[in-house]
Amino acid sequence: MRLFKHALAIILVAACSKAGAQELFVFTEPASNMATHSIGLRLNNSLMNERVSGRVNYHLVPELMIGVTGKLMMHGEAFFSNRSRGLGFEGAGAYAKYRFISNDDVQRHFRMAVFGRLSANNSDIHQEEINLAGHNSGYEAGIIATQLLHKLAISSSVSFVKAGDNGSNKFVYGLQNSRAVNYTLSAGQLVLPRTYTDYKQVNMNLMLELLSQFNTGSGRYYIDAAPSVQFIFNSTSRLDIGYRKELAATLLRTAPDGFYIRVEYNLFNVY
Amino acid sequence: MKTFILSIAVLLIAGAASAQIRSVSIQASGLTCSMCSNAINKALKTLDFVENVKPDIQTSSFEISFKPDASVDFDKLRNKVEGAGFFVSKFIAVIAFSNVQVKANAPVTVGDKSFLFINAESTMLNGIKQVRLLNKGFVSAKEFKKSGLADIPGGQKLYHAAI
Repeated sequence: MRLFKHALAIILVAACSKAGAQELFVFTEPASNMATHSIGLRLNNSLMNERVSGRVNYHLVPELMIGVTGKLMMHGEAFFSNRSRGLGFEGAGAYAKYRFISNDDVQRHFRMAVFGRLSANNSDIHQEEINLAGHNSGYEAGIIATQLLHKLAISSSVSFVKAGDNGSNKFVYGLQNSRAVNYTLSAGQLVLPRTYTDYKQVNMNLMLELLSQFNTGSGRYYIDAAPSVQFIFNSTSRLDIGYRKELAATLLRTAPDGFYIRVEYNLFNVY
Repeated sequence: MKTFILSIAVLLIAGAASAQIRSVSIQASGLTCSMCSNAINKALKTLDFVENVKPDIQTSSFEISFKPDASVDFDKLRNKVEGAGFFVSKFIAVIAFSNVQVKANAPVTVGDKSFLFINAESTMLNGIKQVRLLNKGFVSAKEFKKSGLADIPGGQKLYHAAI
């Protein structure tokens, strides 16, 4: 915990000391979208520490992203995890985001977008927290605002989330407690390169995100901090390494802390 | 009458007027990172009349050269930037002029395009000039609003410009 606090402090200092960053956040989405006619492929890996057993819950989420127009993008994802026995398929989800405000200037912008997510999952329901990225069936709708200021990006989102039954696995915490509001606040800083000369330069971004859920039925909540480091190679591929850590919570959660590792590859003008 | 005779004389001496688009320089707004710049770079390269794109990631700028004898479409260039998720904040066409007469409030024709120079009095254009487009979508939204210029629909290929 002490080590984590130190890491957090270092990242905070780094993020505040220079005027600069990026908005390709690791745990949240910015208001900006992909280019039209482009496709992104992601492999999202969560390695979460299960509190009771001490074992690692591994979630694998392959994701396909499509830039439909410059303003609209869609994601499709599949959910796998080793929570039951072995690594098994548990469900799938769809996500769409539409940018409706763009106030752009050279090397800066303020943008807003609305998004929606639909997830189907048949895994057992094991916690009060509602998580549509591999745990719960349900839907989510929300709004995102992102400010880019040269190398620094700040983004925030608010969304409403509703959980349903996971097939024959019922949502056991009652209809009242199946609704929640998610809040996020993200900051990202472009650290490297200091001066751009080439698309082949490796980019490094440092990010810090706060992720929170408030259950509108029970009034219970969680707040997590999620620092991450991101590398961009050849201006097409991404490696994100993040760590999610619960800061405070009253919601029942089985495995809130752990690593998040994503690889992403972007293909431009493919269709 | 004097001017008319002089014009005729100039035409006779200097030969026919001509103008040709040599290259275009675009600055895009709304981005910093190289992945965003690359999305624009690759989108511009898909246009059939584009020969090469030379990006400057640091300034979000792109120098675009064209295939010989290709018909250059400014609106398609702009649409590629917007399709990549960004906007054009500066659009400069580098045009080679030879004996092209500019008169106040009269458009100058270059190929299939017409340019209304907002800052040029009667003058004769010769040599390579940088022509900055001022239409909506070719400058930042803020700058267009400030200019007070009328919005010309894209299909008309008529451009307000500064030289």
